[in-house]
Amino acid sequence: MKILNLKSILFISFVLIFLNNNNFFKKFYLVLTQDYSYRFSKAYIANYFSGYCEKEGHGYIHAIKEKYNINTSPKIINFDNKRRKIPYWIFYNKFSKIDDQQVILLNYNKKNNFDFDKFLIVDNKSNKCFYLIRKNNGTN
Amino acid sequence: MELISILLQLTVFVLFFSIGFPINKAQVNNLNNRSKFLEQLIFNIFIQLNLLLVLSFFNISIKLIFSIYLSYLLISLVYLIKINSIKSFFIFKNKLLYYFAYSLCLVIFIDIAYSLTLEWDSQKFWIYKTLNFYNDGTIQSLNNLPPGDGANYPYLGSLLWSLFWKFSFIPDEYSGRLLYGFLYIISLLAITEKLNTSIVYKMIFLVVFVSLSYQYRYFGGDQDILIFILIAFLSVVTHDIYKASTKKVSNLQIILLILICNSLIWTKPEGTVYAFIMISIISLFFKIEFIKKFYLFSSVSLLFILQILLYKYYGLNVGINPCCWTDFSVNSIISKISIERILVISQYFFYSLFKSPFFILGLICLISSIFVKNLIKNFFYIYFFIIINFSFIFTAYILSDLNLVFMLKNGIDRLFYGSSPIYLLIFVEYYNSQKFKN
Repeated sequence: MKILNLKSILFISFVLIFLNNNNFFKKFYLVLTQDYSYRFSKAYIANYFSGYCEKEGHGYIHAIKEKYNINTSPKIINFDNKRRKIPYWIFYNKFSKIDDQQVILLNYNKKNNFDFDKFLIVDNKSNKCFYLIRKNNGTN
Repeated sequence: MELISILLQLTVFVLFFSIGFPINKAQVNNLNNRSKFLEQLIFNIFIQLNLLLVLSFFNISIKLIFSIYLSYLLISLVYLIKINSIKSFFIFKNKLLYYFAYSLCLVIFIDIAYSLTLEWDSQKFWIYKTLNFYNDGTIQSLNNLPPGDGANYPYLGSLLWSLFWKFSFIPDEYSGRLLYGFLYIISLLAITEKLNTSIVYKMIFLVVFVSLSYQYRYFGGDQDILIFILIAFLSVVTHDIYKASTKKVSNLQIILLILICNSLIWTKPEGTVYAFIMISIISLFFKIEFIKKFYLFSSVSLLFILQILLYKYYGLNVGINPCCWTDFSVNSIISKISIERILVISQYFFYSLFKSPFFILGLICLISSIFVKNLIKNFFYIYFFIIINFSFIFTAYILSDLNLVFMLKNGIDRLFYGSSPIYLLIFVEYYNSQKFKN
């Protein structure tokens, strides 16, 4: 009986340590109370290679997808000085399926060369990230 | 609501992988025995993974693959009902350990649902393979993926990811990755079951093994976790064969080994290397019938050839990753072998090795076992695996053409992680040799 108690105490201790190390209760609560989009943005804001409207811009791209209910990936241009991956996968399309009538700009600044006249600005985040739709008479 | 969907997803995994044709008739009424149930569960897992893989060879979309898969499950279920053994499959007497393992799955699932980010390799290669299948693409349409490194990698992990994402209760991509969490826990459970100890200690060891090896980054879509899972299962089956080598090794064990090796071949290129290392060791050193060694070696070799033929047939390139290994001329190889490169590799090699908790655990048990009579001989085949594995890792880095430090920084940890479950076998052997009070 004594051994059984010792075993049980050991077992419960290890389980509690594991749950605590993984912040299980906090994560459980947040999965219960926050929706996927919010968690997605938060996760990528905390990510070293990404952020909301910086680096790879996962947060902004996902927010645009949700806000405008976009199913096909717009063309994404990242003006960051560093070479960045373009996360087209956020739209859950095949790699080859890109709608170039719509454009998402990331990390834009005035020194960058981009012709806004051909596009309608649908969304603007701090003059740095944009969601644009090509005007009907616009050309490539 | 999402939590309920996660729970339902776990239920689906448990139900699907519990269903399968009984591995032998004598065992049908014996599934209340915990270890027999585990044997059946592992067998079901590998039959189903290989079934899904083989169906993909016919260039069909996952909708059709899933329909055939469901039909298989349904036929198995009807058969189980017919032979009156359905109760043994689903009523788990004496299966507290399984309930505990499923609870651990839930903890991992919550972490995946919370953390969500995809790793670097995953965002570059694996997710696009997954999206190819998710959007009704086939093996042939993998050709549309961007060329370059990784585009032609094997795809078992992505196929599973897409299938369990497309047909799940959760619309987001992480639902497919929950399968990795489920298989991860079951693979560690399989190793834990080899310990000769009480159920409570097994549960303690299971939670310790998970604590030592679980990190979210391995579940961020990279395929190293699948290598880890397959190496864990491979270790368990190999261990059983080694233990049974004086007796008769069953055909079932050989079939299971072949199925695991095939899964390795279709997961990552290093999976193929691990599969051949293990079957070479079994063929050379294990005391099993020659004909079984022959079947094993020739089957795995044929499966590897089949992979090459299928890749050629569908216009995919099965070559070595062009990002990192391009020049294999004698002059180039000689120029790459330098003291400086060897020292750099050694530095990262040992640093990464000693960051692996399973390696440290195995090493401690190995040193302790020197004082236990005859025990060290039991690890004979494990030494070979480790030595060949280390040589493979060293050779792969010395022959690389990309920036060596960059490659080592980003890859060597994951390589060690993938093969680390084998070190747990040293712990299992050592533990079983000691007479601990249970």
